[in-house]
Amino acid sequence: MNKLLLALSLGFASLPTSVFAGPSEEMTEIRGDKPVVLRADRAYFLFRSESGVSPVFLRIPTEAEMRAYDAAKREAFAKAEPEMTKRRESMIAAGKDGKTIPPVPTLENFNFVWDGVQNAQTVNMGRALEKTGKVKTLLIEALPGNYVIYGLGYGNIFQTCFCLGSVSFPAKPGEIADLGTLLVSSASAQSDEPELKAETGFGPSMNGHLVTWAAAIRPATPSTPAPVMLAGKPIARAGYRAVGKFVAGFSFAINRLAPIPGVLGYDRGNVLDLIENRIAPNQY
Amino acid sequence: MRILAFAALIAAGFPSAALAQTLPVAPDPATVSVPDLSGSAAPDVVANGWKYFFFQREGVSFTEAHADIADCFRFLTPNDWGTVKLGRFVPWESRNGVKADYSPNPYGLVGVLMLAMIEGTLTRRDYQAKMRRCMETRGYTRYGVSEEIWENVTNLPRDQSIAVQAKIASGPSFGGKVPVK
Repeated sequence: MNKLLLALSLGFASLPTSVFAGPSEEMTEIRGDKPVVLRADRAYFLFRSESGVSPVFLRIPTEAEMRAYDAAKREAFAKAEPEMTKRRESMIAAGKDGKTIPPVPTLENFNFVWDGVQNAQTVNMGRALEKTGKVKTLLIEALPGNYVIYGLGYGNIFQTCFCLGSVSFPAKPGEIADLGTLLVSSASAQSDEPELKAETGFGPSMNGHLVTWAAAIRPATPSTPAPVMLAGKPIARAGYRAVGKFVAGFSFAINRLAPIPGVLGYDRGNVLDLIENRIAPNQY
Repeated sequence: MRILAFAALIAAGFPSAALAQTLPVAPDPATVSVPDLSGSAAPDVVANGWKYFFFQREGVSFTEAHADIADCFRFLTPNDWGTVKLGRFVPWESRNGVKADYSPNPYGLVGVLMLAMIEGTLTRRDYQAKMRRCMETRGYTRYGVSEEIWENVTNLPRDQSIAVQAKIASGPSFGGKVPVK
């Protein structure tokens, strides 16, 4: 059996029965089985896609959340540091190979993961507001804030990060941001979508544990139809801004969101903010 | 087995290496030795080039190539099915940690062993796919090298590996271009 298929079978088989979390405070899909009522304390975004793969939406943390994270990290480091130092010293004393000896433990290099707030989420692409042919329209209810299209995933699996460049958008309370249409293809096969032609066709070596995904956003225009169920609701086209490179470190693959005319471009390794006409700052 | 060793080796360097923010300073290129790449045009090396390759770009300086490769090395944290879970806080402006969260394999020990057997190959493929997206978008081209040379260079300590790959990337083209595969 092909190694990739075998890995996929074994890997996916080891996932929990349901890889989708239930509705959360952070983000939930609004179905079209009853009238849509917008909450004043929630933001909404709308997008169309034919893919079963979901965007990973990252809500940029608030200052209060960062303070809570920093405090939790400091506390965990203070608890772990004596043992890490002791272990390192014993490895040095035992004459271990220098490559295996960890660096001096610091708060900066401390490996810490916090789950007090879960601000990076996929959505269940099967829970559409409406479906016309192959095209699903999803309406997402989420905490207000600034969001980054962080990558693509399925359930709780982070498959491809857009670490090499992406976009952010504001999500305002009581309003619907129309994100446009999400186009998704494997990076290995050549896509027919104009936006993805230069971002795909790289051959099967782009696939490791999983497919490396390529994606493009086709922004909404004044003629982009909104779902009938949202007639009269406050819908505005998403205010996209380019986001520079960032390190996620917990996805199988990396890629970049395809260029968006007037918003997102690239010059070799640099991400271009085409609204400000400058290089978008990296998040590292 | 060597591939499995490669996976173990690069995994051993993380997460501490991945969490380190500092990039290596480019050394004097005259102090960097590169392996003999004269056998890279051999048909079997070119045919296997999609598995084992290094990058090269005409006209790039050693300093620029070093900066490009060092930047791309930021993204190489190896992952497996236990470390790619989203149920976590992402601090955005500071570095994520690495957490393993494994579910029991429904195929038991057999499933665990089978997964372990192919894990090294998949880790290498993830590594190569990441390097391709990061380097090819900067105008670099892949050239095949022998498996032995590739392993020797990629198994070097991070800073040395970056320096050797930067010298190769900024040197003359070698061997055959890797076919799209």
